[in-house]
Amino acid sequence: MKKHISAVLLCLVMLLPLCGCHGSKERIAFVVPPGFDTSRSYEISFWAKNDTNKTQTAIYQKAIRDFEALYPNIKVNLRLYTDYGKIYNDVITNIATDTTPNVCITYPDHIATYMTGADVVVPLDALFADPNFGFGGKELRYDGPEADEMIPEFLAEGRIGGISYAVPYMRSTEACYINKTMLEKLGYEVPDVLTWDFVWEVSDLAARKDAEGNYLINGQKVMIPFLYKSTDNMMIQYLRQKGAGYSTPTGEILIFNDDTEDFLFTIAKHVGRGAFSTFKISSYPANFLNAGQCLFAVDSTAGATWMGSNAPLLDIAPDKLVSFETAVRPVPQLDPANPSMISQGPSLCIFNKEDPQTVLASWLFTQFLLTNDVQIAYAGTEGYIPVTSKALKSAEYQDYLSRAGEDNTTHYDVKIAATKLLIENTANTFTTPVFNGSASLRDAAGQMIEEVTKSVRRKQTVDDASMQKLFSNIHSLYRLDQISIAGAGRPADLGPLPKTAVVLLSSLAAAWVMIAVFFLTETMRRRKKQKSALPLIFPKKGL
Amino acid sequence: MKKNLALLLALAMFFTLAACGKSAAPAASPAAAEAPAATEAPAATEAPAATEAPAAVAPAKLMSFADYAAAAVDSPVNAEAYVQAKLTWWDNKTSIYAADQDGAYFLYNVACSESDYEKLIPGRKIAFQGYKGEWSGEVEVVDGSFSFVDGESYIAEPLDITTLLGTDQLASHINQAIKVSGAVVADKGDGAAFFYNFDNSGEDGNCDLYFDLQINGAVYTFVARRYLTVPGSEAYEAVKNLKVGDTVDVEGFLYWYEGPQPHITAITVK
Repeated sequence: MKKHISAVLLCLVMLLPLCGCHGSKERIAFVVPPGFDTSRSYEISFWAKNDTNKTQTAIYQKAIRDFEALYPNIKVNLRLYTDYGKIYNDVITNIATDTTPNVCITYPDHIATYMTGADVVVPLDALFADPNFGFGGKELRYDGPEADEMIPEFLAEGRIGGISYAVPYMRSTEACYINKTMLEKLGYEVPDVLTWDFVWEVSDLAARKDAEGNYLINGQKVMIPFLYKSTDNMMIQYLRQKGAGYSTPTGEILIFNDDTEDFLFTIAKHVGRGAFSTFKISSYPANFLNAGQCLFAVDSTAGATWMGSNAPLLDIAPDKLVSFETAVRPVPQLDPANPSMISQGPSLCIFNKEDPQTVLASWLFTQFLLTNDVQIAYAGTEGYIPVTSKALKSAEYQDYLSRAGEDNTTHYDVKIAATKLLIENTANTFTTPVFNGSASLRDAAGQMIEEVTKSVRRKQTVDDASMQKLFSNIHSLYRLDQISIAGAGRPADLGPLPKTAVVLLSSLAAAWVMIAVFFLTETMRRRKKQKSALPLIFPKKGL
Repeated sequence: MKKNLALLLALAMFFTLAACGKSAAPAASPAAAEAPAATEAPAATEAPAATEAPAAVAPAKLMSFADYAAAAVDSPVNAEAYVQAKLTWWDNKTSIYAADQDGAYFLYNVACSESDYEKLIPGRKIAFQGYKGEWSGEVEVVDGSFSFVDGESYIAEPLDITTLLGTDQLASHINQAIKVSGAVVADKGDGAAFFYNFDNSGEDGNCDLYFDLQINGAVYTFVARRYLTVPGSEAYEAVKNLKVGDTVDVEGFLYWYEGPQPHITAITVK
């Protein structure tokens, strides 16, 4: 009997370290707790992004105050950023030291990188569906959206590898802000849908100068007819409209193709005519548009409050501002009958912590940001749209949309036109595949346009040879050759085991073999003893 | 037999626990080292995200400041000057205010190793190549690189621009070390002497500080740029202690964003 106990104990001792080794995880995978422990206090950090817009800051602060009033045991610490890239860099830095925020604004592209660490980002499906704390949960202290009130297209953008890691917060797209007055001066009407050909044709015309170097269209020394803020979006949307390669869902890079090359040559041609530039090279499209130095300014709908003569936010001196009428249209298209534009905007993710109650507190706050008060208020700060049908269909939001142009602040007509553009085109939006490295691919897409534009401006040759060199440089610079086609969240191939691991595993295997031999030997020895004792215990049949 | 087994198990335990001791931090992905460009709304006065570019094709002839000033935007640059100040370092890049006796340069996001960054001491002579750029009025050297040059050092005396503000001559002193004296802190809004970010949308320690100074009857915006005077530095903290109506002397560099927007390095309340 003692031997049996010893053997069982030995097995248990062996099993314990094996459990500890399983995956060498930093922390245990999150499981939704059965209830929320309100006897404890929680402090969570929220890293938020605003568009350098103090109204947005005020809305975050009010949301936190309102949430803390409902949940006095949860304190939310706000940290503000004005750039997604800076949040991304800080999160990456903090993953290594296990000091990630609890909740942060992010892009799904970025989450794919965060997920290279095991159980760093909380999968949200179980939280979504939890009957007590999920969408429409019966224990929530606020009126959040039901599951079927989340816009499915936006919710789907946060799914990586079939699992939800992000919940949408706001959505926007890009728009082309047009100086309609200037366009009509050139003899054109604003079409319902812009085509690339139209934009290039008119931009070339607007780039003509007189003998003294003044632009004919505005009489100034400065004119950038077509100015694009996010060249990554420019490339991505063009390739999508063209049906050309960008990447596969699992991360195979397809962007270095003939269509990309053709598009870059087209851009180079118009840069050479002075018709096109970019934000990185020249500055904000809004500054040029408002100074009468730009005809087609492409920027996010979330930048609409900067666009136009009556824009509530201005960055140029009042004496530089010119008066003109602004039209808002979708980004240029290849097929006007089938427009296609990017869906973008902030999402929220939750970082895993040792204490599941803290994660649950983070989720309660995250979901609070989806309530109508927060959604409608924040969407009204820019050309964003709410991510819930509950907010979109609300009387308050519909009233807001119907009052376009009543004033140049809350109801600024350009901003509401940009908002309506997205509402009317939600079905025409798309997102790019998310995988570990997709953020780099996005950067690479834009950088090719930047490089070609700079090359032409610097009077360098842009030809087949330079294009191949550009492809090669970009491929290398953005380490696109290092992107594994494994799918987001899957562990990469870590190569052969180190010698210490081989020794360890061999020792374990040897131990188990020895244990097996020991038990077999013992069992056989016992059976021999039992056989010799049998007649004394059991009478023969028939006796 | 049993002793051997026990020993083997103990060894296995030891190796197993040792192996489990180190928690796995996420492997740095290719993307981790890169700061993606912003893809959303304009962040006023924020410089664009860092970009990499092919090495500059510098003109063979070393340019004087006059050559540089006369060169068109997008021209290659090959010049020498003396470091006056450096901004913070990130991802093998930094930005440098440099000057010689004739004028000043701003090297934006110039390639720089961390070890070279430590050697960027005010006064030290550098040779640099790149391209001339202009971004919202700021004339700068972009896509550049630099190397150290042995020789004498030079620190420019700050130019007093108190009487130049509001004149056409000011632009010719872009990027120079400057000073202003006897300026009065103006109300930035709601009685505030300064804003976190240009519109008060930021928060302490995580953004630039904007403040207005009344000089010769006009108001000009000055900035404590967090990458030049980092939060916690004497100048940054001094701005946070300003009060409307204070009379101050400031020193800094004549940065430009849609007009003069000096970035300060020192401020003294009189």
